[in-house]
Amino acid sequence: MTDPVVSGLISYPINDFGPAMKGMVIGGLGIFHVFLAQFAIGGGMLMAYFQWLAMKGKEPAARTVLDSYFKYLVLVSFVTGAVTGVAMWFTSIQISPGTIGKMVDVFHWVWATEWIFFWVEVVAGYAFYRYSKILSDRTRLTLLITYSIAGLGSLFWINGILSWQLTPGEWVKSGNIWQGFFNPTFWPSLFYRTIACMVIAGLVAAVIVNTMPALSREDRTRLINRTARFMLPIVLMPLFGLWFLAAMPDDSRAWVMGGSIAMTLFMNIAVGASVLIGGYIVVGLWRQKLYINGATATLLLALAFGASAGGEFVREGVRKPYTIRTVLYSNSIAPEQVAYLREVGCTTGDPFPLRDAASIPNPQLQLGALTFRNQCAVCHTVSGVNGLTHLIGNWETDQQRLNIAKLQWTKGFMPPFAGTPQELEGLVQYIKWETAKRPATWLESRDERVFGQIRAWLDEAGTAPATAGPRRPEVSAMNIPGGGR
Amino acid sequence: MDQIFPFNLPVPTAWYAVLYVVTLLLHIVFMSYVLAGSIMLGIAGFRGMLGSKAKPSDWSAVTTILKDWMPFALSAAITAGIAPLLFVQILYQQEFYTANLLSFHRWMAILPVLIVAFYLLYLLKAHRIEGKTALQGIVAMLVTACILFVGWSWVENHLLSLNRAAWPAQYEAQAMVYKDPAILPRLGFWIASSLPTACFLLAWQLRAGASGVAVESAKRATRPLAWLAIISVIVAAAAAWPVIRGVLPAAGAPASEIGIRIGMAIAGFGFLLQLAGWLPALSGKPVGKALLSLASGGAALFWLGILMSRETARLSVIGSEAIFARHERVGTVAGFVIFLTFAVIGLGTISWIVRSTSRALRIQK
Repeated sequence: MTDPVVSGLISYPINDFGPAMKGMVIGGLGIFHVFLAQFAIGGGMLMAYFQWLAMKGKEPAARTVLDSYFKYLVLVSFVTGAVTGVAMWFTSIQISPGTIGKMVDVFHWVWATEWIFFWVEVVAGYAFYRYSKILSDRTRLTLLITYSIAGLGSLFWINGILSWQLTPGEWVKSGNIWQGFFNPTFWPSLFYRTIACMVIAGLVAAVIVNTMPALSREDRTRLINRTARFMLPIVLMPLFGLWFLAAMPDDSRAWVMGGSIAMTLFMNIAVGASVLIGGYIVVGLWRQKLYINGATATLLLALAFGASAGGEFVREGVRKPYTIRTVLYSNSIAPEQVAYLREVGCTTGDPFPLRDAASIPNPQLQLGALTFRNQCAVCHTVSGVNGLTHLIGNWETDQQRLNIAKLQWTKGFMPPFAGTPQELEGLVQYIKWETAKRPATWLESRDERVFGQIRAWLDEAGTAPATAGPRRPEVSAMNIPGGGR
Repeated sequence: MDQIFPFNLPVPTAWYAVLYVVTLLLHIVFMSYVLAGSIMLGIAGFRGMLGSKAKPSDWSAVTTILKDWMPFALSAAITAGIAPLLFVQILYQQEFYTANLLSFHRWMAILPVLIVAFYLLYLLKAHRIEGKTALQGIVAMLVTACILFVGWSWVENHLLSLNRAAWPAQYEAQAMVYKDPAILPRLGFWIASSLPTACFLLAWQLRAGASGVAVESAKRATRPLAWLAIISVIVAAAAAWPVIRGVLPAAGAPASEIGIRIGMAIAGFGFLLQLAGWLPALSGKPVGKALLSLASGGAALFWLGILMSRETARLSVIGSEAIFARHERVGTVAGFVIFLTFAVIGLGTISWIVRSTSRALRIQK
């Protein structure tokens, strides 16, 4: 075993979120943050457009909207958007410290560069917010353009890091971070997100315009139709969406094309909501120059939130079984560590004791609980959302052993099991015990032939993930006389 | 690995430590304004000194400026905090992450608390409650509570990250609160140190007539501000050595001791400069640019020395060959030139924005 393999193994305390799946926590916050951040970025661009309209005399009411809109931008996006940005880091640490640690190690200069853009965004935004009334038109426009460029710049930098997680590209071989940054999904993702920013900002403007008593109905209609023009790039969204799909790894694409019903469903929610919004913008607001009231605008905004949520869920989901493709599995175990952990065990180096050891009746179950914590808990609960007792609790014992031993072949988006046969058997018994509603006593299964069979299955499965290729192991004849419960 | 004298650190570790200290200094400027400012506002609120109906006092100019500028300062403190948060993850990844994980919901609570503090600060400057002294007092005290909670959480997190031996028991007990006798003195030190920094920032704002404060009102505020700065800097200086030295094991870490002492010497020099800057103001004379620059430079040196000592002490406690090797590996990653290029462009852009708005303000006046 090489040193880097061993030295990369750091045991972190793993928290229990109760019945909630950890992915729901980071996903929920992520969707909220992304929506606010996209509003902030698109908002700057829209305000620059309105300022230009006002300066050119093309839209007299634009100036009235500017100050009101910017107040919302500051109150919502500067405050909640900024803090949820930091919260994304903190939540990532809670969910997967190994992943965020690796991302920081590789991209800290990119993040530091993004930090510079944040500064420009905050200073330009605040300067406009506080002093716009005393600034010349030219300075106002320059400030808003500066704010927009800084906002788009921050999107540019973070987009490289996020898309790298799915498609790290040539970085895997070369270690060159720019090859990882400008990865195959970088551009389609960047263009797609930029349009999303513009659409969200436009829909927020449609809501805000309707809250301003100073504007007449004619003013509102004109402003909303102007906003519709700003949102027109939505017609290009399908193009960038398809480009993104084409640039995805084959197995990831397969999940959204029917391979995983949850991911297919969420993608269709995103597509369906986007089509509805796009249709309304192009046909209703742009072609027919319709007026929409605050309620309809809010409904469209809610649809946009749904589209963002679906899109973000898919983006997170299609990385499975990795958090960083080919580098780190969802459970923060690196592919090259699997073989090592199958020898020494995934629980051996864990310095953190079980919290409820006293309520678990025997050492084998305790080992199983520890194995669950280290290998499964990042995506699964015991009996809550995505709970193992629901998913595999009613399988036969040998079926559980076989399918966990050959986990990556059981489900292609699962990582290979990275522990000893004893840990695997402990996990199986722990799931059975939990399925049986945690009885006070439970017999240990210590049959060496069972461990031998599990070892054979692990060897047959190999340590490579299913994503590595189409290889499927031969299934050996089961030969476990009297094995297990 | 080459060691950098006198801090006894390999080059990559020292490099990231320097970046951490420099960016943390920037964060501390705004953080001090927010921490000390929230305490000043809380006390003023408690004493019924806020709002248009409150009796004018020596502190009126200060509270007017604080109410106006605290939301921006909090925003700037959070933005400035991103870079040190980045470098702390490189320097002390395992320790920082583990402390975060152990404190779990309690640690994560600082985020909604910060959002609440933000909106309370905006509420405090809303015209609608300008005439309601009692309500303003309550809001201001809530802001103080929120900011103190965040400060306490950071101190607790820092100390927990240093105490590796406590981790398993802390985890097993699901104790989201880490009890350590060093927390209170350390928090006290941070509060005391933040006050003189906030005082010099406020003094600059008073000089510039920020938030439309009248010249006479600004003059009245100078003397109490000087008193506050002098008393708090003396308290901070007295607390500094035990706080920094307290994290080292009883046997000490001889190799890093000299580095810590150099840091403390710089902090001591900063302490003297701050005194020299503030003492003349006790006579009630207006503080000139030169004296204020002296106090400001002194505060910067004080913090720089404190941070140098703190990081040297921290690295001597948790530094190991494995950690230094990790820093060396991470240090080979490209991107610094891009960062530097955009840092220069960003600084230029920010300077332009400040210049443009200042010019517009001057014309308006």
